[in-house]
Amino acid sequence: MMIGVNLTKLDQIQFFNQCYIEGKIDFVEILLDNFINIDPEYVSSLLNKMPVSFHIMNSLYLEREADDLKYLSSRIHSFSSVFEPIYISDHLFKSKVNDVYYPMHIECDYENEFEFIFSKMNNWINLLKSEIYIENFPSIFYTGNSQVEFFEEIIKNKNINILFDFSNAVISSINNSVDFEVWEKVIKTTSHFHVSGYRKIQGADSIIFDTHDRRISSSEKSLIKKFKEHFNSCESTLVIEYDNYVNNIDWIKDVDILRQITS
Amino acid sequence: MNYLEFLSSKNKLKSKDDIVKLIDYRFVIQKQLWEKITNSIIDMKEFFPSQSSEQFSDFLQWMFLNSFNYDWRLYGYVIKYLHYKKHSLNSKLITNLLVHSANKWGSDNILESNYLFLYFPNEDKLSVLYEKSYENNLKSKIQICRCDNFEKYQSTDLSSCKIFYSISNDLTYLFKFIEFF
Repeated sequence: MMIGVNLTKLDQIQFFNQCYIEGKIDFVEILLDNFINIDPEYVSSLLNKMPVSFHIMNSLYLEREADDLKYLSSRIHSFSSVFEPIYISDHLFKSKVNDVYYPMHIECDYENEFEFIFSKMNNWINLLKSEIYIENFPSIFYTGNSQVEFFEEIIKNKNINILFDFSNAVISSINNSVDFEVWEKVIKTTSHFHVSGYRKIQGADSIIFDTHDRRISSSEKSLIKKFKEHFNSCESTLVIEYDNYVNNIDWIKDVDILRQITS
Repeated sequence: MNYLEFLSSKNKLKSKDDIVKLIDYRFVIQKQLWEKITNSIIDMKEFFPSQSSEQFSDFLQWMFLNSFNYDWRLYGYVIKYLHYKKHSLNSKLITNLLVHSANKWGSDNILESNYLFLYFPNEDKLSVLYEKSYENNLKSKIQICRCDNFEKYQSTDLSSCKIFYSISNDLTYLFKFIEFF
């Protein structure tokens, strides 16, 4: 399994290059949003041929106008032609309700919006001219098994896969009191995984939030250990995400521990 | 209906625990919005002393009732709200809020126009011109200027509009104009 970290800023590249040379990491996952308007050749020159994957946060393919999506896909093509990424991944959420932008990511209604989401996703795939890995959502409010069932259905499409985020699934299972194991069938189908830190926020004890600001929890490590038999050897990837209050020493400690667990 | 009330619509909340979670979730979102505004601009604590203050709740309720966007325009709506509440705003504070709106626009919108022009006509047409710069970094350039320098753009509502503004015969820049009034 290839172990990677998420690259969100240009000034992280020097540190990651050193980690790559020392064999600490095998690749970086580029958060394309933060690089999309930069010359990909320039980014490539900084990364010294280190393998990369692409992650997209705010393509907003469910909501963005067709022309803007077309332009965004053309920028992603220009990056793909330079980097040949291991995979391209995106998210599944909405940013607005009744045309009003809200300050949080809004979870989709998987049961009632299936056709709408599926159609928009296919449109996005056609523009990208690539298969895509969609990350599962860290649910806060009760969704039962509807998210799992949604993913079980959409991954039947040959160009749609799940980027399985262990943390998001743990968060959803805690917030919704749903058994983590319901994801097992989906986990078996994918090769690409995420994991990150999560926590409660003071004053809101009933909810776990996806914060990316601390070390990986012991329960996440246990789950990764439990499911590692489903990771497809050298083709699989695991990204350890850390992008708030980043502590590089803690980050690399988790990278080392997860390499031991998955090997 | 209260702000962020859309989350509690019947088809969204399916368990008893969700009512408790909704209250906690609203608390967190309110805290984040308050911190965004007051951490960036210290003077804002004069108007919004705490995240749970009556003043801040009233601001969020006003945002909700007007269907205003909680995105990068948030800082601009703060100006509009305080003006609506007849608070006296000095030019430094207004400019600060406009600059924060522009900065947030620059970081949040990956495919927007290259230029953003924000202005507040009530107070001496205070304005900022923001230019996105992609020369191997994501630093932005902000200029404080007067909107008199630009062709007058009229709008009947607080809205955004993409227009082409010709700098010269062979250069055309895509602009976004926002007027707060």
